[in-house]
Amino acid sequence: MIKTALTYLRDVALSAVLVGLIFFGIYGVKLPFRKDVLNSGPYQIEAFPTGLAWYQFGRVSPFYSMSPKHDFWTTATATESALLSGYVEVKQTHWQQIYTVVRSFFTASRPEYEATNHVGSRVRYEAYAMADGGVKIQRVISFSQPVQVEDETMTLSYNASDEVTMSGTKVIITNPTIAGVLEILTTPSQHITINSQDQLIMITSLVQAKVNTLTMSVLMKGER
Amino acid sequence: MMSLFSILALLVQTSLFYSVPLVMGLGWICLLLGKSSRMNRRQLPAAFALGVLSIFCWSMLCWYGFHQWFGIDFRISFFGGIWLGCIASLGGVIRKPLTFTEISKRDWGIVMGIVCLAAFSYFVWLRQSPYPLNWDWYQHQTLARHVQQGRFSFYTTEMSDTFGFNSYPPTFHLLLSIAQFPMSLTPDYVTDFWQVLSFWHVVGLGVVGLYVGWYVTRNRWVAFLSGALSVLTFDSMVSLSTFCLLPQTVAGALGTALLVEWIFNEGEKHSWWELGAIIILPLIHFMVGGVASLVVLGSWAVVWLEKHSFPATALVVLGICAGLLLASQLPLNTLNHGEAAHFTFSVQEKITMVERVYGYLGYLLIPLGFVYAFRETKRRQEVWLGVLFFIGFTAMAFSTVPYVLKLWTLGRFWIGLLMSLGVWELVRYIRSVVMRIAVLIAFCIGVSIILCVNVSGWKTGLLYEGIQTHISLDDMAAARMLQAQYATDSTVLVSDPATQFILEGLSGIESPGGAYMTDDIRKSFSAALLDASPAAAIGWIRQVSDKDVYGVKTHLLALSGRTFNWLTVTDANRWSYSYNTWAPLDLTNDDRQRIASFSTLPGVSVVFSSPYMSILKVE
Repeated sequence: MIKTALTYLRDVALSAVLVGLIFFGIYGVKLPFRKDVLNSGPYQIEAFPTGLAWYQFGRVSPFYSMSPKHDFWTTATATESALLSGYVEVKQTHWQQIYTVVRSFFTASRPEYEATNHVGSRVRYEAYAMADGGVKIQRVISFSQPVQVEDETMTLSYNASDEVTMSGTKVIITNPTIAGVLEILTTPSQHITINSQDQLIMITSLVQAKVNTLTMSVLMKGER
Repeated sequence: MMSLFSILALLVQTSLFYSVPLVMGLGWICLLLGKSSRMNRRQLPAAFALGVLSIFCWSMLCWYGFHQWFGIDFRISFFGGIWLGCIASLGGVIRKPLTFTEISKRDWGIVMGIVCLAAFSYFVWLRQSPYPLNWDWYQHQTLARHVQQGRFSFYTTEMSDTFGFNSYPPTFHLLLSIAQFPMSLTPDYVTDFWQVLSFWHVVGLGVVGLYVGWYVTRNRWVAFLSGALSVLTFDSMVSLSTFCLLPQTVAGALGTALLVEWIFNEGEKHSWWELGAIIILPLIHFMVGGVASLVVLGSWAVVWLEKHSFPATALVVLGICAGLLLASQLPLNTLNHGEAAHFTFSVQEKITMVERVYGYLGYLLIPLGFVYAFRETKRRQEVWLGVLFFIGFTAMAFSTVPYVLKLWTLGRFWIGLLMSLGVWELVRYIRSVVMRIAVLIAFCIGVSIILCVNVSGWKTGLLYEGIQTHISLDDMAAARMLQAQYATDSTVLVSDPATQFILEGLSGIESPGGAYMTDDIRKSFSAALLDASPAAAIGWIRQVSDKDVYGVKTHLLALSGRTFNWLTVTDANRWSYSYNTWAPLDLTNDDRQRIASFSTLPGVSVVFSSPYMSILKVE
C-alpha cells in the first residue's frame, strides 16, 4: 500500500517537473513584433505605446492614432477639460503577450491598449471587427472615484498631407501617398469637430452624469 | 473555398507526387530481389529514391535521346513511359506485396497519432491563409509547367530565366509534372494543388521523424515524440522544412530516412542497387542532397570500420572539432557576400532562431537527452551515433559557411531526437501509463503553443484584406485573365520582381526573370518608371525581350501597389534577389495618376484594373 502510494507520488512529482519544464520552454519563445493586428480595408490597427493606431503596413504610411494623449472629458462646470495625458501605458507581462498572440491566432483579432494614472484611474481602448469590415473602437475610462462629467471626447490624429472632408455624419480622410480612405462613421448623438490647428478629429458625446465608468465607441472603416 | 469532394480528389492527385516514384521503385525492387525474397517496410525510402532515380534517368533519355535524336515529342515519351512503367510496377507489387507483419496495432496507432498531429500542424499553418505561403512555389510551378509543355533540360537555367543559377536539375519538377499531368494548369488549380500537397509533405516529415526515433532507440515512446517534434516544430528561417515543399526539404527528409535505414538497421545486408538510392539525393538538390549522400556513405564507412576494430568514430569526433576550428579560421567572409550575405547569421541570431522554434525547451531537453545517452546500455552505440549526428549537424549549422542553414533540413531530425530522449529520460520513470500519456499530451500542447507563436510571427507581415497571404484575390483574377487571353508564346509581362514572379507562376505568362530579374533589367525598369517620361518608359517596355520567348508580339506592363512600393525602397533592396514586397499592397492615389499617364498614350490600353493592380497592354 505504502509502496503504491510512493510510486503514485513519484509519478505525480515527475509529471509536475515535466509540466514545469514545458511552461519554462514556452516562456522562452520569441514573440512576433506584431502581436495582435486587426485589418480594415487597406488599413491595419494595432496597439502602440501611446494608444491604438491605424496605418498601412509594408509602406511608408502616416499613423492615425487614438490615444489618451489627446482624449479628454469635460467637467460639470464646463469651464475646464481633464486631459488623459497623465496616463501611462500598462504593459502586458510576457505570459499575457503569449496569450494575446495565441488568442488572436485562433480567434478574431482584438487589439487593446490600457493606461493608468497616479490615482489609479484606468483607460482602456479596444478595437473589434464588425461584420461589414468596419471596426468599433471602444474606450472605457474607470475612475478611482465618481466624477461629474458633462461630455467626453475621443480623438483621431491626422497629418498635414491628409485631406479631411465631412459628409453628414461621416468623416473621410484621404492621403495621396497611401491607398484607399479612412472613414469615421458617427452616430447622431455624437458631435464632430475638426481641429485643423492640432490636426485632430474630435468626436464628442454628451454624458451629464456622475459616473464611475465612462464608455464611448466610435465606428471606423478603411475602404479600398 | 474548395468543396469536400475537390479536397479529396486533390488529396489523391497530390499523393501521386510520392506514390508514383514509390510504386516505380518498388517495381524495381521486385525485379532486383528475386523470387524468394519479400519486400518489407524497410525498403520504402530506398524504393522512393529508386523510383525518383528511374524517373530522372527516363526524362534524360526522353529529352537527350528520343527528342534530340529522333524528334519525338518529350511529353509523349516521358509521360507515356512513366505511366506504362507505373502500371507494370504496380503489377509486380501486387504479385509480391509489401509485408507489414512486424508492425503491430500499437505501431499503427502511433503512426495515426503522428498523422493527426501533422493534420493539426497543417491546420495551424493554413489558418487565415487560403493560398500557399511557400514563396518559391511560383518558380517551381513555372518549371513544372514547362515540363508539361515539353520543354526540358538538365539545367534549370536553360528551362526558364526564373532560375538565376543551377542549384539542382529539374528532378523535383518532374515529380510535380507527373502528379499534375494532364490537368489544365489554371491559377485556381495550381494554388489548390500546392496547398494540398503541403499536407503530404508534413505527414512525410512526421514519418521520417518517427523513423529516426524508432531506428535509433527501438522505443515506441521516443519514436512518437520524435515524429511529433518533427511535425510540431517549424524551422522558420532559411530551411523552412516543415511547411514548404522544396527540393531542399525533399532531399533532407529522404536523405535522413535513407541514413537511418542504412546505418541503424543492424543485421541487414545492403545490396549494390541501394547505392542508386544514394545517387539520386544530389540530383534532387546539389547541396543538401550532396551532403546527405556523403553523410550516409561516410557513416556507413565509419560503422564498417568500427566493426573491423578501427577507431573511426574517434576520428569523426576529432574531424568535427578540427572542422569547427578551421571554419572559424577560414576566410569565409569572401564567400558570404551578395545573396549569400542574406543567409549568413551571427551566433546570437542563430540562438534567437532556435528560441523561436523551440522556446527554452532545447536548453532543458538536450542536456537530458545526453543524460539518457550516458545511461543507456542496451542500444548505447546507436544512441551515441544519433548524438554524434546531432553534434555534427549543430556544429555545421553554427559555422559561418554560406547557406549552411539549408542543411537544417537534415539537422532538424537529430535535434528532435535529442529532445525526445530528454523527455523520455523523465517520462520513463513514470509508472502509470495514463499519467505518461497525459504528460505527453501536455508536452504536445506546449510545443503546439510554441508552434502557433512561431507561425504567427512568420505570417505577421502578410496580413492583407483579412487574410495572411503573399497574393491577393486580384492577383488570381489577373492571372485568370492573362491565361485566358494571352497564353501564347509571344507575350511578355513586365513588372517589379515580386509581381511578375507571382503572375508568371500562376498564369504561365513569361516574364523577364520573375523574382530573379537581372540587375540590368531591374535598373532599366526602375529608371523608366522613376525618371523617364511616360512615353519614354513605354518605349523601353516595347524593347524588353525574354530569352524564353521567340518573337515577342505583345508586351504587358503590370503595375501593382507592390511595384510602386518597390520603387520607393533603397537601391540595395531594389537590386537584391532576397528582398521582395512579400504581401500585396493596394495602389495609392498617386500611383493611379501615374498609371493614367501611361494609359492615355497611343498604343497603350488597360486590360485589367483593380484597386491592387492595373495591367496595360503595350502594342
